[in-house]
Amino acid sequence: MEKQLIEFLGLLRRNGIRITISETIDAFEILRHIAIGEKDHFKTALRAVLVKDFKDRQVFNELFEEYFMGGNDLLSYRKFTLDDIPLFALSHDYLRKIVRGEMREGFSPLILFLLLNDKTRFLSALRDAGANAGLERITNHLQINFFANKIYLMLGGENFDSELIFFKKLLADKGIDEKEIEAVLQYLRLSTDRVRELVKDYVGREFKKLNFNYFVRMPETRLLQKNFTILTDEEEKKMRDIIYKLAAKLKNRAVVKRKTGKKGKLDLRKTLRRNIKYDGFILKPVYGLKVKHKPKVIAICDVSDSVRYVSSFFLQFLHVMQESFRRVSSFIFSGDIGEVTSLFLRNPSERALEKIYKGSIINPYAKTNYGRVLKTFQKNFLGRVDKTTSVIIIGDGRNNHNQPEDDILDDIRKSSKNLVWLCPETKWSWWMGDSDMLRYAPHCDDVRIVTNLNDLYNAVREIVL
Amino acid sequence: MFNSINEVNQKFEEKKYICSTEAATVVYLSTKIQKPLLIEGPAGVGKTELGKVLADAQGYPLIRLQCYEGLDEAKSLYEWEYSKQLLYMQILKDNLSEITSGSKSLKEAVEKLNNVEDAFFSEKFLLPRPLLKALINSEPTVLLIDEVDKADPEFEAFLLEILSDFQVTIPELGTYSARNPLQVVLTSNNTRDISDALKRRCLYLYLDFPDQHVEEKIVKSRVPGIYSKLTTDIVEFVNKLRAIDLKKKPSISETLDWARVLLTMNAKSLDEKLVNDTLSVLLKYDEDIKKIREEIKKQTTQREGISFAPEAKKTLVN
Repeated sequence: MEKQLIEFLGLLRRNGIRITISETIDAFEILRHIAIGEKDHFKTALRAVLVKDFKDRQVFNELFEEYFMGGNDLLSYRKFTLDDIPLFALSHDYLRKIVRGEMREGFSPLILFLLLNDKTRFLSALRDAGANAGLERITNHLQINFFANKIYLMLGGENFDSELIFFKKLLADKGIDEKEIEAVLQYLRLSTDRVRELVKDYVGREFKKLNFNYFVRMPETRLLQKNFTILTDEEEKKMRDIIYKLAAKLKNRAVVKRKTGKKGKLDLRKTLRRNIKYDGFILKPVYGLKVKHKPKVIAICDVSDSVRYVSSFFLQFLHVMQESFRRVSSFIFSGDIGEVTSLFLRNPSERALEKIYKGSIINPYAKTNYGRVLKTFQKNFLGRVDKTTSVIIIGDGRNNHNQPEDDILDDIRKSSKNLVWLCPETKWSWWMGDSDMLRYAPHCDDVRIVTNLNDLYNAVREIVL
Repeated sequence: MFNSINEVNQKFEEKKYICSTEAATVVYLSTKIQKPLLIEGPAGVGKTELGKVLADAQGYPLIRLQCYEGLDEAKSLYEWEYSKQLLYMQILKDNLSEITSGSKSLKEAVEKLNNVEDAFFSEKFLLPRPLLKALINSEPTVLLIDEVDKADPEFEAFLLEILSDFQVTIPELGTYSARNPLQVVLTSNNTRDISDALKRRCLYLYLDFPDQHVEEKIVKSRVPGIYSKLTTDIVEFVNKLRAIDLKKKPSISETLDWARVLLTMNAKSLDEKLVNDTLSVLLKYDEDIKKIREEIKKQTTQREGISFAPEAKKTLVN
């Protein structure tokens, strides 16, 4: 059992479940208190010790079934055994007795299995052969046949013919009728195909098990790095949760930073007040916060057609940011610019997005005009930008050949803490078409290429923390 | 202490807490291998209740620590009673000067005071808060740390020593180990991720909304005297609600409240009016209530009756 459990733990680790050494020890500890025969208890107990995240439960459940139960039904569907072939003078039991007595040692697991139908023994031989063949290295389903063949040969397929000859001789020596011997041999020969299938099945399952992650759990890490342009519908849905989580993480980090960051000067008034209860003895000095680090952000997001595929994520992200940080204001623009801060605050993210794309703030289908948008921003909103404000512009800089008005960016940069441009297009495409990015970029403190969620998170983290 | 998983089930049931086999298994194990138990799940499925019942079923006292943002050591572990210390110092001023009298230098006086320092930093002046209280309790104790996710991340780190070694260190006095077996139950609503270090030290139990028949059992045991058909109706209806996308899904405690309300209204089965009138017990958001009312209306006008409760339809027709 110990060996199996260790192997199972390895399997869980390989599929992305974190298991520490202390948890391994716990797993062994619980074995002493739980009857392994009680499958459900055993499973729940193992899960309680090993799986500490709700998300991992499904992976655990399926792997558990696959590992501890999988082998059994693998062998159970193989109905046709030695008992099903007709023998006359010779009884099946006698034949088995001969096999047990004479050839336990010398023969391969393959023949023994076919004659004795000892499933557990065969299964463990199968596992050993798999380990020897290096099955844990399988990464591609094209390798299944290769490994299956290798394992089959190791189980006894390689010397099958010579073993048959030896077996025939053995039976003949016992004085068994030649016809009956032939019947048994025929059964053995015909059964090899079934065993081959079985081994292949086993390898297939093993492959699935080892690369479980890939099949069952669409890993978040992969989604984080996947380019916005190639997300499927289902992935887009999943993104919503991830965005929410990322923003929550960001908030957490901001809180920790604020609490554990360096403290400022001694706050005399607060100290006196705090220490009144100690009769004026100053036992607990109180320090002021060094910097009140509350990020103030003004985000301006392009919602026109050319960036539609990313702007919805940006807007969702902004929406959650606004929930977490109070001093975030959001604007959207295409032909015109409009503020969506209060829209975000009043509506859940889906409805807010719906309203935006329906055009209840500005017409999102108008042709983008960066020049006009910057001008309007300068006129109406620049007053809200101060030296503690980070301004984030999200857009591809595709200006439909309008006046770029890039000088205005200088004004914004000068009156803000920093001006960051997040661009969903890579640098080489800045040269093409109506992109004005090359003109805008030099006026910003930083220009970041944001093609996936990870980029977005990192960029925003650096701005607000 | 429990001797088997069945015993857990049984004893919990005596205390009117119906739990799944999974919960019973994990509780049994956590008492057996002396590991804290971390319970997660949606609000209102009985996480805190499980902690309470665990104490009750074994006849142990329960010490509860409610977590919130800003909870710190002074409020959770111990505090020096400064005012008492100061008061004693005032009263004992004469004794103190007696001790220091005859010393030739300031240094000597400090040395002498040093020797009696222990008197002031002793357990007499220590104000134990829930965590320390649980550790030094004179009998086996269940410590319930409720909603640990509401506390700050630093507080979690501070819990680690208690959870893994059942001890805390007080700088002036040294290390306190648990005098009696301590069973720790932590609950979390998953508003933020609990750190791996904390999770590693605990057994994990995810409590979800129960199966229909388990919930029926719960209602029957908690709301005695309720008609069994009404129970079925209620649970079925609530389960249907949970399948709908709502802002807040009705939890078990809300099911129980509803059952109690319906019982006092002397209801024997559900019908549209009754549901409409009492829906606010079950749902806590105006939006949700509107949504469900519309849904019910739609279903009744479609001449399907309230599909939630087929029996109710019959009573309506009759």
